[in-house]
Amino acid sequence: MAVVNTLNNIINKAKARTARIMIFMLCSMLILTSCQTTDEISENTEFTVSVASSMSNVMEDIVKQYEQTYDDVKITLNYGGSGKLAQQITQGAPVDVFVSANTYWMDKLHEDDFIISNTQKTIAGNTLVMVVNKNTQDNISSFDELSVDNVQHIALGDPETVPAGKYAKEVLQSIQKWNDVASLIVLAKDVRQVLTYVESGNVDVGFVYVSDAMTSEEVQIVGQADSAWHSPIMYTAAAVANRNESEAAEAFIQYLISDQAQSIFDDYGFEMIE
Amino acid sequence: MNFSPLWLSLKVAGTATFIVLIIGLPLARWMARRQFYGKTVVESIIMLPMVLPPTVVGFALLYLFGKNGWIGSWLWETFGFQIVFTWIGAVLAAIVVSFPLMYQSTVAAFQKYDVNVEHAAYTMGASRWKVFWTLSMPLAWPGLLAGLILSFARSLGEFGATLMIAGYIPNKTDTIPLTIYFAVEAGDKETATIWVLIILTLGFSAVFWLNWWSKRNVFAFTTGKKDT
Repeated sequence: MAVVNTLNNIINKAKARTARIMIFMLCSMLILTSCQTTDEISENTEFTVSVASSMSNVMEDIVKQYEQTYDDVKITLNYGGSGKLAQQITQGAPVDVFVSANTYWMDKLHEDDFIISNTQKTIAGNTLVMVVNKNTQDNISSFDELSVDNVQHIALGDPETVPAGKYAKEVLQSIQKWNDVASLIVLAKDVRQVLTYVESGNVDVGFVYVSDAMTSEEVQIVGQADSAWHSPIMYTAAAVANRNESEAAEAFIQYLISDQAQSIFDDYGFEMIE
Repeated sequence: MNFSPLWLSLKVAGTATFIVLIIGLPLARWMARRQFYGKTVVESIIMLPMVLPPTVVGFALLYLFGKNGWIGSWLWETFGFQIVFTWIGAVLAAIVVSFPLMYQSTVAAFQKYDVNVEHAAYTMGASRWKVFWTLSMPLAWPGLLAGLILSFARSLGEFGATLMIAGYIPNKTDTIPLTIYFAVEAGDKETATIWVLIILTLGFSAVFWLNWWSKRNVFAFTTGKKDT
């Protein structure tokens, strides 16, 4: 096809010497990296933790602390929406610990015996907030002001797939605003996208967790949802069944509920567990 | 079942392909036989959306065409028109990602034939317009068609940039790829499978038809049996 022809032309035109040097560099990089991985496997306890995206920053910090304390442990972090992570596990992805942003997906894995049930722990909570752009914050300052007259667009995660979006929908329903503002709602694939829409000024209001709002310099929290307005926001962790490193996985989950890890959660805006 | 994603996707891909044709054809014709300082830079910029992750393209579009973006704020102040979160936004995303395909195919098509046939026609007094429509276009047609089909197929499958700039608004900006993504995420395998089959059929038919058509034409060309 024409595209392929053009690409071939480009490759032919490139100087042969440059091509050879690049191939040599690529090969040496491949050889070097493969050496490195084999070395690590032989020495360390390695396991993979799948983490709900809303916990990515805090979990990086916690893992760093954990690896400093136990220097023979090497943790690989895998981020994604809780639903996607759960589906990866049901399809046999090599994951040892699952951290979910809600109990729905954890229960689903539990039902089908994909996790070791007695390792399951609630590790943190969160608060849902309403954010606006710092530069245009005068538009709206409370939940009462949410109406077709005051705002053009409201962003929230898709309630079907994003836990934060589900809680946002529950909040809007509890305060009797859902029907009024339904036509203004733009659904995002994750909380990060909600923040981007608010930061770029394309939506007036967004619903995110307080921990997410804290990561952005450009948004301002204008309302905090009462915890009675939505089902409890709970992050749960569990070890995945039939994995070789389940002991190490369990030890890590215990660390997540220790005072040390809990204070890191607190620093990032999460609620500590009782 | 709600079939609005199908009609929306066809509308978006159709409009995008049409605009890509209107911009791409003259540009490719103009660029094909010209050498100027910085041409490689210009062509590289045109090709960029093909190598960039679509989310990056979407992010850039959001900041350009958003309410506070350079172009977006101008559109809003001048015409009171907002691209973000409308189906036009989806068209914009589709145009940007499919334009490189159209451009590459068409430029190659205009470079493929012997330029002397055009010169000969000029010496016989044919106008530029007549030469373009009766010589250049028929000669470049297979490459142009390839570009069109590829652009259409790429527009149909566009996800990352579309989600960013058009958002996911059910019954308004839910193209087939967006519908599939959110159905998969929600664990709704049935809906996802149906839409996967639909988009598979659409994409396959387009590419299959293109391959079949171009093979037949090449055959006719090499055996001298030129079909009209």
